[in-house]
Amino acid sequence: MPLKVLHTADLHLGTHFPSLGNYGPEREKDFLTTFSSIIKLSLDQKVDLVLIAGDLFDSPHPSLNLFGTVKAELEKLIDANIPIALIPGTHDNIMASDHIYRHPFFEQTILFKEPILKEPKFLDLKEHPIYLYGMAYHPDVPGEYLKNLKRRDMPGIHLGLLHGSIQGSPDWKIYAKDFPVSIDELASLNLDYIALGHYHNRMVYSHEGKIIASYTGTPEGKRFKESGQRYVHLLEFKEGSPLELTPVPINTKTLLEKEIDLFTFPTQTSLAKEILKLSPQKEKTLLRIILKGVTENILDIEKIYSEIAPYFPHVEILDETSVMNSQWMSHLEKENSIRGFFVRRMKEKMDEVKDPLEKELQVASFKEILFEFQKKAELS
Amino acid sequence: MIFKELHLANFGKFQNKTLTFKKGLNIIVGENESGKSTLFQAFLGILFGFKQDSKRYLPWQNPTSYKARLALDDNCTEIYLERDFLEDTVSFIQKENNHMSSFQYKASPLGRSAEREIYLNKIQDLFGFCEPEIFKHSLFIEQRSLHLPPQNQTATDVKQMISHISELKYDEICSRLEERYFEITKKNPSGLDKRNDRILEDLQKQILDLEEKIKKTRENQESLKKLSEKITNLKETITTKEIRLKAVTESLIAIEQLAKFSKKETEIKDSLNDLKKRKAIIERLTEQLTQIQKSKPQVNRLSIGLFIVSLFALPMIFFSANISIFWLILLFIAFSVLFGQHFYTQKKAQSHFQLQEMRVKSQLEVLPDPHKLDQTIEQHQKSLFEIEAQKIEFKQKVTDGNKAEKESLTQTLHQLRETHTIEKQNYIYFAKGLQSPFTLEEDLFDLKEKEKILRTKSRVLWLAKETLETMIIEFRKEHLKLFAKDMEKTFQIIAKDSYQNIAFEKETLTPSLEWQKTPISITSLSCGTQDQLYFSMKLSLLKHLGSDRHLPLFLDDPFVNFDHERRLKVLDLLKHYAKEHQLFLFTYDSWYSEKLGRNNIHEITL
Repeated sequence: MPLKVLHTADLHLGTHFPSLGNYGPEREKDFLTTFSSIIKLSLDQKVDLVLIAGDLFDSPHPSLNLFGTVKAELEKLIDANIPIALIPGTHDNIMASDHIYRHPFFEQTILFKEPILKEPKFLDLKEHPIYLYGMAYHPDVPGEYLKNLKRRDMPGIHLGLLHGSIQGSPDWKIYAKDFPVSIDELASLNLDYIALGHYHNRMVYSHEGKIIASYTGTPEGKRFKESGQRYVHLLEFKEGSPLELTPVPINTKTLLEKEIDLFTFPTQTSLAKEILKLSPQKEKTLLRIILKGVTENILDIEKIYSEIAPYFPHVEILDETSVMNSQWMSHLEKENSIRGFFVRRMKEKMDEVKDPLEKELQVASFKEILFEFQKKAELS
Repeated sequence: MIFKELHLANFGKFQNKTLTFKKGLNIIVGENESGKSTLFQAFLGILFGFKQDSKRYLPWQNPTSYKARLALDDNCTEIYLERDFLEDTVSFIQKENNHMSSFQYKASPLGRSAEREIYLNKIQDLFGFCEPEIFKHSLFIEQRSLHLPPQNQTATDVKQMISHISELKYDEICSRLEERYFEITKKNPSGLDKRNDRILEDLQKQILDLEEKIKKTRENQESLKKLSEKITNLKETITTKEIRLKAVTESLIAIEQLAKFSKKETEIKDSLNDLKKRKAIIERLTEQLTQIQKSKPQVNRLSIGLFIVSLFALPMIFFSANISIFWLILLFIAFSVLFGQHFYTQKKAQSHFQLQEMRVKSQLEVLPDPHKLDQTIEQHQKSLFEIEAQKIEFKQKVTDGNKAEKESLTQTLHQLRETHTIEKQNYIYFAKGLQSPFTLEEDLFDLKEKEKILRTKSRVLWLAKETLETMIIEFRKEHLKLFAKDMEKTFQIIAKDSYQNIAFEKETLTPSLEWQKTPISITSLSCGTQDQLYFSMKLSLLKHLGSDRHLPLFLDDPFVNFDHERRLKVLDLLKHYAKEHQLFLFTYDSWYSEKLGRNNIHEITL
C-alpha cells in the first residue's frame, strides 16, 4: 500500500485584513473555510498523515474562538486516525511563554515544540515505519542545528518539516531571522521529503532528478503578491518508485492583480466592461487593478470603482496612468485660456525640475489639477 | 468665422430641417419646447460629438439615421461638417477658391486615434480650442446665467464674479483641491492647523502605536533572551556547585569513615595479635603435649616379654641345666627384683608424664579451638583487607573541602535555586503574551504603505492648489491687462451715459466708476449695469479665447428675467457686439426683433 501524505503550510489563520476594508472580516472567514477544505480533502483522500509546516496561526495567541474552530477541525483527523505532524512557524512562534502550542490538545498531535531536534519521532503507518524530523522556529537558534535533521540510519520513510527560507527563491529578500537554508543543505539531510513553510508561493525543489522538498505556498492568498490559484500538496510514497507530488487547488477566493494599459480602452465604460471580463468567477475574486499607460481622460476612479465593485467581493484600483503625452494635453496647450496657460507653464516647470521625486510630485499634482478641470467642466 | 447653415437630417424632433444664418444678430424665435435647446446641442454635437448620453437626440421618426450638418464660413473658406452620430464619423469638406478637399474622420469624443487628432486640430484652428466644455462655457450664455440674486450683491460677490471671467471657475477648483487636501490631513502649510485629526493623522497615530508595540516586543524579546541566558547560566552554576557540594560532602563522609575504619582496624589488629598469641600458645602447648606424649615411658613389651620368657626359660634352664633350685630361686629373685625395680621406675616415670600431660591438656582445654581460632584470624585478616580496600576508596574521595565550605556551598546553592525559580517565573511572566514581530511588522508595513500613499496624495493636492493659485495670479497678471482694456472699451459703449471715467484695475479687474464726478462702489451699481459689466466681461473673454477669431456667441435668452430698462441696455450691447461677431439669440419673445428692427437682424422662427 502506498503511503499518502498531505502537506500544507502558512495558513495564517486569524490574520486581520484592515487593508481590505469592509471585506476584511469576511476574508478571515475565507481563511477558515479553506482550512476546513484542507481537512475535508485529507479525509476524502484518506491520507495517512498530514504535515503542517508552520504558521498554522497568524499569531502565537489566536483567539479562543478561532482556536476552538481549528481544534474541532483537527479533531476530525484525529477521530479518523490520521496523525497530524506540525511545527510552529515565524508567526505562531514559541517565544511567548503562553504560546498556543502549550495547549494540551496538541499532545494528540506530533508537535515539534523544540527549536533543536534531539531525535526523530517514530510513527508506524500501514507497516511503513515513518521517522519525522522537525524543528520549531526560534529566531535565536542558529542554522547549524539543521544538521540535527540528518537522516538516522534506520529503515523506513524519513520526512522533515521546516519553516525557513530557501536561498534563491524568486522575488524574495531573505533575512537572517528567516532561517536561511540552501538546497544543497537540504539535500545533504538525505530525507525522503521535506515539507517546507514560510515562502508564500508554490515551489518544488529537486536534487539529482528527485523531488526533495517543496513549498505549498499559502492555501489562501494573503496579499496580492499571492495571486491566482493556491494549493496543498498530496504526496504518494510507493516502494521502488519516485515520490509523486500532486498540487491540489484549495483556495476559497482568488486574489487577482492585473495591470491594464489604458491605451486600448477609450472610455471608462469600456474599461469597466473589460475589467468585468477579467475573471469568470467574479464572486470569488478579490481584484486589484493597476491602471497604466496614457489616457485621454483623467480617470474618475470612484466612478469606475462604482461600476465594477458590485460584482466582486473586493476591488481596489490603483491609478498609475499618465496624461502627459495625451492628445488632449497637446490641444490644451494651444488654448488661450487659464487651462492652456497652465499646461504650458506646467510643462516648462516640469522640464526645469531635475529631481525625479520632485518631478513625480509635480506630475501627480498636474494630473490632479487636470482631473479637477475635467470634472468641473463635466459637472457644469 | 460665422455659421452659415445648420441642416438637421435626422436629429431629435427635427427631420430634414435647414436653418440658414447670417452675419450679425440671428434671433431664433420659438415657443417653449419648440426645440431651441436642441438646436444649440446640435451645434455642439456636430462639432464635438456626445461624450455622454449620445442617444439623447436620437431621431424620433427614423432612429436608424442620426445625422446633422453645419456650414461655416471662415475667411472666405467654406467648411461643411457633417456628423453621423451612430457611426461617430465626421465628413469635413473645405472649399476655397474653387478648390475642394474632403475628409472623413472617425471622431468619437472618447478615446484617442490619429484621425480624431487630425480632426480636433482642425477644430482648434477654427475656434482656438477644441473642447465641448470650453465651447459651452464660453460661446454659450444660458438662461438666468447673468442673473445675480439680490443677497449676493456684495462687493465680494461681484469681485468674485469678476474674477471668474474665464471659462471655468478656477477659484472653485483651488478650493476643491484644498478641501480634498484637508480631507486627508489637518496640517495646514499656510496657517493654523485644523483642529480635528484627519485620516492621515489617525493613520500616523496607529503607526506610532504599532511602532511602539514592535519596539516593546523587540525589547521584550531581547530581555527575554538575556533572561533565558541568565537562567541557563544559573542552571550551570547550580550544577557546578551541586557537583562541588557533593564532592565536599562525600569527602567529609570519607574522612569520617576513614577515622572509623582506622579505629576498627586497630581493634581488629589488636584482636588479631591476641589471637595470634593464643595460637602460638596453643601451638606451644600442643607441641609440649606431643613431646610429653612422645616422652611418656611405655610398658616395655620387650621387658615384659623378656620377663615372661625368663619366667618360662628359667624352669627350662633349670630342668635342662640342672641348676639347683637355689640358684633358680636366686635367679628368680634376682630377676624379680630387677624387673620389679624396672617396673617401678617405669611406673613412676609414667605417672610423672601423665601429670604433665594432664597439666598441658588442662591448659589446652581453656584455650579456644585452634580451628575456630584460625577461622577467626582469617576473618579478621579478611576484614582488615576489606577495610584497607575501603580506605583506599574513601581516600580517593577525600578533597580539600571542609565543613565550612560545605555549609557555604549549601547556603549559596539554596540562594541560587531560589533565584533560578524566581527568574524562571519571571521568564514565564514576561514571555506571556509576547507577540510575533513578524505579524506586527507586516501590519506596520501595510499601514506605512497606506500612510505613504496618503502623505504623497496630500502633498500632491497642496502642490496642485498652490500651483494653480500661482498660475491663476500669473495668468491674470499677464492676460488681464488685455481683458481690462477690452472690457473698458465694451463697457464704455454701453454705460457711458450713466458713468464717467470707467476703468478697470489691471490686475484685479476691479472696476472704478464715477457718477456725477463721484466715485462709486460696484455694489451701488444697478442690476442692469452689473449685467452689462458681466456681459462685457464674457465678451472680452470670448475674444481672448478665440485669439481674435471673432467667435459667434449663443444666447439662450439670458435676459428673460430682466426688467424693461435692463433689457434696453442689453440691446445696445447686442448691437455693438453684432458688429464684429455672429450672435445667436434663442428666445420665445419677438420683442428683440421689434425693438431692433427686423431689417437689422436675421429672424428665424421655429
